[in-house]
Amino acid sequence: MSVATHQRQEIHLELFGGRAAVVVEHGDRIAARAALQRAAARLRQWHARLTRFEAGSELSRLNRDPRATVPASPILLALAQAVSWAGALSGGLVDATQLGALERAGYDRSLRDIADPAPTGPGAPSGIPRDARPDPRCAWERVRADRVTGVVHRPPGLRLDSGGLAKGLAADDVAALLGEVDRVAVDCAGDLRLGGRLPTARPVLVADPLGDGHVAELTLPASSAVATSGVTRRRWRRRGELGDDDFAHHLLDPATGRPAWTGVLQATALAPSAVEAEVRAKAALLSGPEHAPGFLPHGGVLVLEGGRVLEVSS
Amino acid sequence: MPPSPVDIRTRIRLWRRRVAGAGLGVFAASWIAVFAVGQHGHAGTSTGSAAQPSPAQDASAQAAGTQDPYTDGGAYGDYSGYSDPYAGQSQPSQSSQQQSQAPLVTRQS
Repeated sequence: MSVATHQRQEIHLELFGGRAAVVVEHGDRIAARAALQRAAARLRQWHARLTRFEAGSELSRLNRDPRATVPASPILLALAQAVSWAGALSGGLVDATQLGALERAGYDRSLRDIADPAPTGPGAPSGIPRDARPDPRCAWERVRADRVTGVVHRPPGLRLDSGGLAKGLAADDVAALLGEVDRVAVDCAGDLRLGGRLPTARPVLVADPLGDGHVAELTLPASSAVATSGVTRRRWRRRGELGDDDFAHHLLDPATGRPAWTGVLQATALAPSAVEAEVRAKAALLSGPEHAPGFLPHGGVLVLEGGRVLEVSS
Repeated sequence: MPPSPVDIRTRIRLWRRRVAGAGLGVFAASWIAVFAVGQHGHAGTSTGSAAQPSPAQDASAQAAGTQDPYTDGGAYGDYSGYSDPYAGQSQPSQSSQQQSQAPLVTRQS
């Protein structure tokens, strides 16, 4: 009986406004290291092209372009295609055309540069929980990517936010890129995808949104993905409407353009791909406690206001 | 007496055979060396046993989801024409060799 052997190597990068990591398990150390280098280069491409905090990025150039049809790289085409797909999958809750509202809420630079981040905690930005609703204009429906001609169609002035979509797309892409190694796990700032030619299921801990521990453990099927969205980490202070201190976060109610407060603190979604897990987690959080399980057909975990943990099976 | 044209042709043929034989020998020796080094490196650096995935695990993963338009072979297109503006700026920030399969963690970014 032959027993295959492997060794594990990993790389960590500061990308996507957070940390990205790639873990490779492969029998050949040199090949594993080469695979990590390719993964790092590809992740940097995704970040460089889709960051909205660099005026020279391809996404920033698209957002400034006065033409309705703009030539685009495969990476930008993938994002544009994902924008309309995510809108449809989430019933309009995951709306990547809300960039103006996001900037008005204060998220107009990398969170590392926001001087007064709010402390982690369960506080509500608007008091009474309310389910988010889609923007009736459904601008995401007007974003189209034509892969044959390599162009993006969208009304001039309609700006796109790469947000979580870029992280999910990048994780899926790098997992596919490293398909020849035995096993690979790609973590793009919270969007995690498994892959490789000998994929296996892996246990995944769901981090506590209010502390340092974890609230649940899931089994992530081979070659699948998991993502977590929440309102207790990526937030910042701002002056409230009543003149008091308030805080904002990056998950907006598309109908109001304001940070959503639905009573779900954190949503974790399993899915076949990282971009789908990302969209499902965000949609689950925005839809509120009652509708959230409907966005988790592959399973997931919800942490509700008050700290109640609800595991959703597939 | 000068060699005949037949002798010259014979010598050239013999010379070609020796050169070809030597080339083949070097080629074969190189591959044997590469194979030996590869085997040695494989055994010397391995740190664990790989478990084969069960067919059920793969099947469940395949069957788990809805149709995803972005999984057509996993690639989003041809990136070969796009340069990496950060290429060569940094090396992996960490590289480790560990035996255990530590649990992965999913968290808000």
